[in-house]
Amino acid sequence: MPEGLVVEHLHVSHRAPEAAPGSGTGSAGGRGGHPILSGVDLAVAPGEFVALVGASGSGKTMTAMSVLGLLPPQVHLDGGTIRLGGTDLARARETELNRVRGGRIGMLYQQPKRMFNPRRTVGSHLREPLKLHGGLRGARAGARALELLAEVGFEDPRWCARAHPHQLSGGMAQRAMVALALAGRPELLLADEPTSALDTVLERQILELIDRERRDRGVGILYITHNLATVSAYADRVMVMDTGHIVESGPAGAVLNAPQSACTKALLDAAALNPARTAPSATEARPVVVLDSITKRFPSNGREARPAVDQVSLDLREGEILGVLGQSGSGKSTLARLIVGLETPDSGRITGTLGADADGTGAAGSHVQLVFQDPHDSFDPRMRLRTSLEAPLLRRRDTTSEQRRMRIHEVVQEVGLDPGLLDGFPGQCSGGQLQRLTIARALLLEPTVLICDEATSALDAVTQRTVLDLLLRLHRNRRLSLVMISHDLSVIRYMSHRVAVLFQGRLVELAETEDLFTGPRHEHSKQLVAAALPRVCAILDAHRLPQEQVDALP
Amino acid sequence: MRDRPVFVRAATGILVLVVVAVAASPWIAPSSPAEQDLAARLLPPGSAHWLGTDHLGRDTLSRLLDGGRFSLVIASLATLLTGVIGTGIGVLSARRRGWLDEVLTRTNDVLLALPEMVVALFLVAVLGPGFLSLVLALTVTGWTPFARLARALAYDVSARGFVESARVLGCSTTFIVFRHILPHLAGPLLGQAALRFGQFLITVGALSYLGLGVQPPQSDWGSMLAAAQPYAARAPVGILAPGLVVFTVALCVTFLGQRLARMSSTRMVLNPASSGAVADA
Repeated sequence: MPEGLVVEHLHVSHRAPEAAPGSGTGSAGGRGGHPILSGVDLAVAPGEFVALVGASGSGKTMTAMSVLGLLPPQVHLDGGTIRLGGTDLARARETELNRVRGGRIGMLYQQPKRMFNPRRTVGSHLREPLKLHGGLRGARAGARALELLAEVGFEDPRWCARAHPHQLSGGMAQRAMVALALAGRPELLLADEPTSALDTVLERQILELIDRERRDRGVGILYITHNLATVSAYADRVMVMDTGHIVESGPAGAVLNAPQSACTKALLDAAALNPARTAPSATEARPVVVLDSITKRFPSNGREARPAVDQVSLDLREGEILGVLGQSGSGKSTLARLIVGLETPDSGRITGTLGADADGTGAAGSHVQLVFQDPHDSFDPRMRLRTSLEAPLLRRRDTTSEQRRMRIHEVVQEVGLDPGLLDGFPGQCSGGQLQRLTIARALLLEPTVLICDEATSALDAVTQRTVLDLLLRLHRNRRLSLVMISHDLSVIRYMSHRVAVLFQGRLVELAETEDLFTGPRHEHSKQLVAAALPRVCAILDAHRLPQEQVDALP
Repeated sequence: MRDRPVFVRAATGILVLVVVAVAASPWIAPSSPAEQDLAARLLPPGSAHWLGTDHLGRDTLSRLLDGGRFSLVIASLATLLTGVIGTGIGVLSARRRGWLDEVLTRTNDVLLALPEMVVALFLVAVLGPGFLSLVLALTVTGWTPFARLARALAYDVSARGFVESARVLGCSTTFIVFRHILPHLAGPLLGQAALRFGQFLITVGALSYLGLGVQPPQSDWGSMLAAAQPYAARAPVGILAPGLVVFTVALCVTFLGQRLARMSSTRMVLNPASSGAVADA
């Protein structure tokens, strides 16, 4: 057998607390409960980059957690073996697992900032694995920490070592997390969606970083993601997971070229957001929202604050889809909040040409609605969905509860959901369903403008596609003007008629979509477009591999 | 361990027993709490007097039942008042922000810096002992922990997506506060209320012990302790009985309150994305 990680016949199930036997001896006979993983086999050889791809809820993260022996309390390992270079992790004791975690296996998480203790500096986080797994202390550990930070691309490692997590941007935090994962000199890196929350430029940097470790030090990499496009350029092998099974596995080229299972095909389709529509350039349409050199500054302690939004002038035309593109921290969300009136601009004017904008709160009251990024957070977890949807309608005294009920059912069906869902709580719905419900909730107020602030970024590729298509349908049927805010170029390209590029709070480019993607003018736009993994897009667009990758196939 | 049903049932049982007994004391007490019998002073527990008698020959059990009414009612009333006032102030601070928040928070800081007992002593001394002045004395400083907790939690909840969505959707402030924010504060605030109830029970006892609480012939658990103290060596039951009752009731309420707090936060754990956000205070 080769070295590296070998997982065989892994069975994991969820058991409700009352179903768990009090005298559970861990015998394989009691295979009760709801199965999460059913017979997962996978192997990662040293120096190999394996991508584990699947929609959310397919069991990807649970696979990683089983390897680390960190399954949640009600989830049990029912059977199978997990070996890492001869050690059986499924049966290892806690002390042994502690030597493996952070030592032989490094871990990257989706939300690096939440994985750092906010009260401790990055340096002190790094010294811990160096002490535990490398036996380094004091000045030597400090020096090694600086080396690691320099290695992951920090220009000023000393600053970073002294920084607290909140001082780092998302991309910096993820790089610091890579340094942390590498500190124990791992044989294997488990990366659980480490770039899903990052924009394309940063995503590329992190992938390059991980890939360099693989080449230089022969680290095996298990990269978990829901986005096939991201990893296809790096992965040696791709495994596709669906409802706890590995449904397809093979060399990256073969899987991409000739997908066998329906699940893989769906993922591929979703990844290839072809800009198939002809964009009707609505130059003649009248503007519905006009921003006139808007500036917004947030007070910040001591430091000279750069405005979050700086002199932005923009107009949204009736029936148009306007894409707003920018990296994290470029002021996209602030712009959205300004338009709906959650923030007031320091200077400049926002005017809506429709409806009651006289009160000065935002553009147009309920005429402009906002869909947030995190659908789970957009609903009160303690409130029945029906109540959540009905709440904004209560202000209109002219409707009876029966009318409201009918109206809600109509709209919920319009977004493609079963009204039966409404009697449940948000925790019982998937992210995709909840995001449809947020859209339905906004539609109940009959808006003319819908702003989607990274509305699909938290969703997996397949769900994202369906939500985007829903938005397009609503746009057509209701003549809804949409503002699509995203860091994801493919989403912007798929949806928008025109694209506005934001960089450090300033509007640096405003162009027709195709013009931007074929000939970006501003330096920053060029950078963004270049980072969009063009090679991968080409593969997916054509569903075909370039020659050099076909040659490389075994 | 803390959630074992045995403990929960025991704590509930003890509390119900104490409350019922105290409420029914005029009917079930073996004798009048004020009836003196100087011939039967400082008796040990026996068949005539289950918990013995005090230095004036009054039946300890009857006095315990009668005095409990006073202690429990004051502690409950003070908890309720401080809870409502504190939560109101805290939520107001968090929603309005700006100068109002600043003023309320600084007031809170100042009050927290003063020892609660000293302020209560001062107020009772000025207003004269009595039921209302005791409630007032406890309320004036007692709202501060509720306000701090409510403010911090309301700040957190206000920043959550669903509150922002509600604002964008044009929900009224009343709806946001009563339907979105307060339900999320309920768990931690209940826990806090239980802790405070126990503390109030003890503070009332302490004030009475110092002679500033109830005035004779009315008694409560604290004044019973005070009265029994000089005779502790001769009749230890006189001091043990009220002390143990205060201790047991405070313990049971605290325990049940924390359990309630945990129960009310389980509903949100259904949602994996937000579990632990406002779980425990």
